[in-house]
Amino acid sequence: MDLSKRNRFSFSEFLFVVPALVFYLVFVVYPLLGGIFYSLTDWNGISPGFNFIGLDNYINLAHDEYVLGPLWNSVIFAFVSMILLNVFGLLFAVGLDNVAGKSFYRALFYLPSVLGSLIVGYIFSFLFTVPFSEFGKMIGWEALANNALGDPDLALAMGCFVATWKGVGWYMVIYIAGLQNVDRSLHEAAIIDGASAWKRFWSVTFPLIAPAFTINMILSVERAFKEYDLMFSLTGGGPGRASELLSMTIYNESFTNKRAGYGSALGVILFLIIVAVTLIQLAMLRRRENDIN
Amino acid sequence: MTSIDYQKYNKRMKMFKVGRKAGVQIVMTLLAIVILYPFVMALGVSVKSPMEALLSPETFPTEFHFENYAEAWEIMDYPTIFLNTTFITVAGVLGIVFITGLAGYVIAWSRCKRFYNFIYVFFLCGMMVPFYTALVPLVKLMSDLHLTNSRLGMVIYYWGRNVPMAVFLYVGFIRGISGEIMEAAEIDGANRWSIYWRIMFPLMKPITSTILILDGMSLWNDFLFPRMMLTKSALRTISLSQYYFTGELGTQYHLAFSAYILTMLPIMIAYFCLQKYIIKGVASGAVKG
Repeated sequence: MDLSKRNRFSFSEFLFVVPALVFYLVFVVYPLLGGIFYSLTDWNGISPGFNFIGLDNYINLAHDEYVLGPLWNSVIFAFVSMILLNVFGLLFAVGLDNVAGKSFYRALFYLPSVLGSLIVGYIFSFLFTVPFSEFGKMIGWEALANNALGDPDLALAMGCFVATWKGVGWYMVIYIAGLQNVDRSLHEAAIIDGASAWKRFWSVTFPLIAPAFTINMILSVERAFKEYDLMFSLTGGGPGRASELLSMTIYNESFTNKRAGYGSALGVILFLIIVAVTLIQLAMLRRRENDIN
Repeated sequence: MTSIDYQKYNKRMKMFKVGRKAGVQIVMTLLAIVILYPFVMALGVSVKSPMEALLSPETFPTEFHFENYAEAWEIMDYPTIFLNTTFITVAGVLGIVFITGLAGYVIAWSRCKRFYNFIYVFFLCGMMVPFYTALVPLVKLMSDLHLTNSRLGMVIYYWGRNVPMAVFLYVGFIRGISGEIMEAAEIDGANRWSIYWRIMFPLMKPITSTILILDGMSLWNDFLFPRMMLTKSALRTISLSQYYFTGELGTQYHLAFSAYILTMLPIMIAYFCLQKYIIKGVASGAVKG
């Protein structure tokens, strides 16, 4: 066999990649480049003509209250739901280890994750309107009694709560997969050495679930920044714009307010945030994983 | 420690452990109630009379009006939305598996390493692109290609959008398959196409099912883009009909919740049947991701 020949580029082999490459180029790469292109224009999304305005969109959005509010909301939403999803995901996973009827609980906790965010938002917006407000009256929590989703100070927090209800099972499953790597004999050895439960968790269990932790941290932040459906159906961004996320602003600017260029610039900012967050977390968590090992 | 001390210690330790176990059990049960509560509430409201649903939606139903379901079914045109969603999801995931499996195979196995590594990284970059960044040009593209208001248009779009993740999972999995089988097949003189379908594709079954599950769920539940692309009522998907139903009849709780239950049912049934595979698929997809 002529080996040297086989290392060369083969066109028939390349044909295998072509379909995926074509659909990827057309529906992912081209729109991304288009988004960056439009972000440098004042296009309204409809008329055939538009002007190049350089970086004006980016300069304007840096002090546009209309944009900075939702951006801040997205940051809070991402940060809080990252913490809630990971803390509860891990607690559920560890708790399930010591429970009778483990597989039943696991299946139940995962159930909300298969539903669409949209329907979850609709159901919870009803729950806040009636049963939760009855409950609020009962325990004398006024904000809840008057429908917490209508309270500008609480709407976003309630969004984090609902996002946690919906997503926690997913994070639990990843942590369970990680915990399966933990060898019981290591734990027993640590008990004999007199290590406390906290110490055992921190120095035996945690290093072994560190990869699951890395994935969950990154994905929870990334998903929160990309969230739209849940907040849309839960609060619609309201009251006022108190719980509007950046993704909703991008949509509204691009289509409702007919500022496609400006909306695209916001989209590019979101893209940069996601890339930055992913890279920073990856670097930090990798270092932590190395420190532990 | 004397042996009596030790026994005492052992007993106390045991009681502590039993107590802790009961505590964990109680906490887990409470959490299970928190998870279940919205479903129970939704079921309760869905069978109430219009009057009761409006006046006291949160109580246990006094009468059972299952005809609410028939009415909601009729209003949503359930068979249509179910078939639309099924068609889009099935055609979508089959296409994704078809094109990304082939690509993943060549990327993982080609001897032309440098070139295909470049292609691989190029595909992976797509995972970080948020849908919203590309929103404006995407809408323009879809209408230029005459893919709006078309189920097939949605399907073709998904074939592109879901490429990065699927290629990533396929390449990771295929790189773990032993090379001996492949080399034997190549010496046999079989061409790549038949090697792929006769040998590789069956070996890729576990990761293929993971991709089918992950992408199937994301396509089934997709909302924002279908809402922009499918404006004709005959083309509505399940998510879209949840949206329109809430807009039109959202305050008629008895009907809205019948519709919610009916539209959640297919994915919940699928979940109960495939529970083991779904959980396993999600875990393996993420750990590799």
